[in-house]
Order: sequence, then structure tokens, then C-alpha cells
Amino acid sequence: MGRKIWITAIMLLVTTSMFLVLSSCSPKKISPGDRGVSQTGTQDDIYTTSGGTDSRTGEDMEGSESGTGTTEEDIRQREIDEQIAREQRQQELETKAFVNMDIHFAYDSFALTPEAIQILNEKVDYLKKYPNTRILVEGHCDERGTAEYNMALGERRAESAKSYLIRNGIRPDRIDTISYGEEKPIAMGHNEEAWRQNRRAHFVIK
Amino acid sequence: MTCPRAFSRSSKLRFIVFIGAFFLFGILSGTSAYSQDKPIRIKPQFLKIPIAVPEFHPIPDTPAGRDIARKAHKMMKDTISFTGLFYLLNKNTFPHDYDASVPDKGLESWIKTGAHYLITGALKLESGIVAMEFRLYAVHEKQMLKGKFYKSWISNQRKIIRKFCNEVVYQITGSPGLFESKIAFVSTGPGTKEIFICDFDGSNPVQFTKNKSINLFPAWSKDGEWIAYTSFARSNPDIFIRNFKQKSGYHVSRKGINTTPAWVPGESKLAATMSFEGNQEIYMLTREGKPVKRLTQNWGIDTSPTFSPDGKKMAFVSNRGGTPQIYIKNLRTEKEERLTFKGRYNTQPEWSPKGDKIAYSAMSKTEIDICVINEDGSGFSKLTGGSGKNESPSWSPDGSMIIFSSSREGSPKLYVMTSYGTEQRRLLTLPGEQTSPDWSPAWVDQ
Repeated sequence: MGRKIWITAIMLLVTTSMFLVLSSCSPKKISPGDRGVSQTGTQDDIYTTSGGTDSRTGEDMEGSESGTGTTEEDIRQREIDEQIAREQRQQELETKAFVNMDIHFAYDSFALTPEAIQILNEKVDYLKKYPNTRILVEGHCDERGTAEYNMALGERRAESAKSYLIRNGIRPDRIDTISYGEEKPIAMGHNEEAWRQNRRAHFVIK
Repeated sequence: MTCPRAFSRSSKLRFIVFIGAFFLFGILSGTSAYSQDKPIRIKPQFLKIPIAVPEFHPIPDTPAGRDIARKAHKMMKDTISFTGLFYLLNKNTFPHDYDASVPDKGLESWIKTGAHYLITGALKLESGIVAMEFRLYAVHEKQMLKGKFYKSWISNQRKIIRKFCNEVVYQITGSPGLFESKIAFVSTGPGTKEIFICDFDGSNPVQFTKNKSINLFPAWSKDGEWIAYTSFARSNPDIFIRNFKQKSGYHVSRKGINTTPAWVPGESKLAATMSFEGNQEIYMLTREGKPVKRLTQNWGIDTSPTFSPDGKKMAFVSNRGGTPQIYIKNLRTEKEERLTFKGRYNTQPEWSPKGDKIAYSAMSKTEIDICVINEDGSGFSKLTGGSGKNESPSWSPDGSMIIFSSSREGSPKLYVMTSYGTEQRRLLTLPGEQTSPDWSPAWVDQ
């Protein structure tokens, strides 16, 4: 038992240090958010001129005040803030992975391949971790078939992804589907590689 | 080193053969030019009706009058020769004593030319108003089949000539001509897929949808008053049913896809592919877009309906047998039978308005081609070949021609051919890709 406690303690240490490394490695990730805030500030500035800027520096000063604070309350607050920021960054990364990872299909098929199932399992994990997200599954085809049939085939592809997610515990009302048939290729070539990339289901967060 | 020499020798040989053929051809064509006195025999493989259209008679015979008459004459010849039904005789064969001012004089002299029919015309232009008289003669019967007198603004000249050409086709074949029909199609010219409409011969292309979205599968109603199509204009693939003239209409937006509208002949109803019940099935809709009956019941994909001219049968595409193939459903007995067995991808059926054939596109390993087949599976014939993707066949209202899209010259453009696959040619030149053509009924409300 004692060994187990030690192991968990070490694991905890490792993970926290990992987080620290991660957060120190990605200072750029913080700045876009900051810029986002200041951008809305400047937009307000159009109407409130200097007033807006004043209030913002006021906030900044407040922030720096609490930053230099040394009470236990302040430290706890800072830890909570950092935790939230970390989680947001984590969600951003996971969302990016969720959206960027398409599943692919064989020619004239809407059957899920083992690779597709592996990717769908990751989607299930994501959707379980973030239960408030709603998604749109787009079904696409390559250019080889005819446009009419491909509209139906694209829908079949989106629907087979959707039903896998549902079978694995995701609520149906969180998933919408749409078929684009062969109308929105991502690879423009007329070869097997382009066709492979275009026979896909794409995932969008709503 | 041996290769280029061998090549040059063979090319020299080829050149000699070419020159020889040229001379031989010259001699042959020379002899035929002398055969004025003997009737010219029409080669049986033409299967075309020989017709003579001598120059029109201007009244008064002034340079301006002659100019108008010449233009009208060219318009008449271009229009009448479009379908491939007629063989226009060369003017060298015309009788020397023909006088355009008295067309019925010496009709028997036309018999020698081989012409079965003769079209004559006289024009009178007066302050922007043109009076035109056209006549159609049956040469052997020495009889006028139709004479028409029109008076209109000069700007309507083309319209009038098309109207008379329709008369000509009707008098000779008994079915109305296609010269007042239109063609709807999809073009990427504006940057997105929009629906366009042009005249039967590719003239006057006009943009019909302007929503900067994806617009697909235009379908004319059989009375020529409505166009149904699929559009992503409101993000989902929905069907829009629009009045061609008034631009008003209906919007069909059920959950899932709403695609491939097809009108039922003789009724103001249409069928379409919808998936609001979970699976792609074909439904019958009212003209207002309300689904009133489900026409297919199958786990597979069912799409692309097309109806026989009597409305009693429907051909459609289904993958219930493992690959997309064409099936026919008898709407009265509910019996469904598979029509195509050759190849692994047969789609886009289009029932001929004559009722005898179904055109469709068949995919092989390297290309897609237009084929026709009888409804009982006999009479298979491949009409295109050796040239890229040939898709989306649509019959002319008289069933004599087929329009389709082809990538034979690079990006997809519109082509026409006779229903036998002969005289394949590009219909129009527009920027972008042109696909999914649909030929209107014989007459469109303009």
C-alpha cells in the first residue's frame, strides 16, 4: 500500500510539472486571448474614447494588485484562475484535434473502417468530456460518382458516423448531419490520393 | 539513330497516301458535281430527310432588303439543321431557273435535286416592322403543306423563324419540334454553382439563381411553368419549386436531404429523394412541395426518379443490390424490377418522352458514358465513348436529341447529340463548368 501512495505522489508531481512545462512553453497561447479582450476594448473606444481605456487600466491595476497580494485567499484565487486558463487551453487543443481529424471511407461505401472507429472513439471521449458541445457531421464524396447518388451517399457517411457516436453513449440531439455530396472537395486533384481525402466525414463544433 | 529514320520514312509514306487520297477524293467530288441531270442518291446511312432552303426573296430588292433576307435565310438554315433530322441540300444542286419571287413555279424541277421538301421565304421590311411569308412544299407531291404569313417587329424575327421551323417539323414528322424549348443547367461561371437557362441551341444564356450557394439538379415541369431544383441557399440541401415566369414558389425543407426533383407527366406533381424518415427514399410531392406518398421502401439508397410519359412507371436508382443500378417500379402493381446489370455503377436515368427508351450514365473503370436501353432491358446501346465523363443525359421534348455534360475537352461543358448518338457537338461556350442539363418541354412560358 505504501508503495502505491508513493507512486501516485510521483505521478502527481510528474503531471503537475508537465503542465508547468506546457504552460511555460506556450506563452503565445495566452496572448491571443488577451488581444481578444483589448480588441473589444478598442472597439468600445470608438464610442467612449478615453473613458474605455481608463476603465481598462483600472482593471489592470486591480489585477496587478491582487497579483502582488500575499493572502491565502489571493493565492487560492490565482491557482483557480491558472487552472481555468489551463483547462481552456487544453480544450482548445482538443477541439482543434476534434475538428481537424476526418474519418475516411472506401469507394462507394459508408462502412466504418478500423481507422475510422479509432478516430471516432477519440470523438466519443471528447464529447463525453465536454458534454455541452453540439456537433455537425458533414458527409462528403469523391468526384467519381454522379452528383445525385453522391448526395445520398454523403448522407449515409455522416449518418454512420453519427450512429456510432450514439451507440457509444452520445445523446442523439447533440449531433446534426448534413450531406455535401461531391460538392465540397478538399483535395482538388483527379487521382486516387485526392479521392481518398475527399471520401470523408468532417466534424464541426456548433 | 535508327528510330528517327524509321519514323521519317513512315511519315513520308503516310504523306504519299494522303496526297493520293486527296486526288481520289477530288475526282470523286468532281464527278458528283456534274451529276446535275441524274437524281442524287442519298446514302442510306444518312437516314436524314433531304430538304432544300433556297435564298429568300426580298421586297423591294434593295441592298438593305437583301441583307435582312440573307440573315433570315441563315437563321432558318441553322435552326432547321440543328436536330439532325434534315439534310440540307447544297445550293449548287438547285435548279438554275428557280425564281424566289414565284416559288411554286416549276416545282417538278426540284425533284431532280433529290429534295423531298422545299422551304421558301419572302420578306418585306418597312420602318422596323418585318412581314415574312414562309412556305413548306412536298416536292414529289407538288403540293404546299403549309404557308404562313407573319408581321412583327424585326427584333422578333428569330422567334418567328423558330415558330415556322416547329411547323415544318410537325408537318413532316407529326410531333412538335423543339425550336421553342429551353435548357436549364448548372454553371460555375459566377464562382459558385448557379442555375442558368438558355435557348435550345445554347443562345441567350441567363442566370436563374443568384444566391452564391450550391444549386443543383434543375427540373422543368411538363407544362414549362415551373423549375424545381436543390439548393444549399438556406444551408441544408432543400428543394425549391419556382414559377419560371413569376419567380414565386415553394420551399421544401425536411430534415436530411431533399434532392433530385422530377415531375410527373400530365400532372402537377413531382417526385424527389428525401430522408426525413431516416433513409433516402423517393416520395411523391404536391406542386406546393408537400409529401403525399412514399414510393420506395428499402433499406438501401433510392434516388433519381424519372417517369414514363404515361406516368404509370418510374425508373430510379437504388443500391439495394450492392451497387447503384437502375430499377423500374410499376406504380399500379407496385412491382419493382432491376433494369441494368452490365457494369457496377449505372445512375441518372431519364425516360424518353417518346416512351421507348431510358437514357442513363454508366461508369466504367476509366470513364462515364451515356447509354440507352429499352424498359424491358433489350436494345442496349452506348452512345458516347473514349472521352472522359459523359453524364446527366436529358431528352429533347420530341425525343429526337439528348443533351449531356462531357469532360472530353477538359472541364465539363454541355453537348448535344441525336438520340442515336450521332452528331455530337458542343452546345455553348460559357466560363466555368456546365453540368446537370435539363431540357424543357416543347413550349416554355416566356
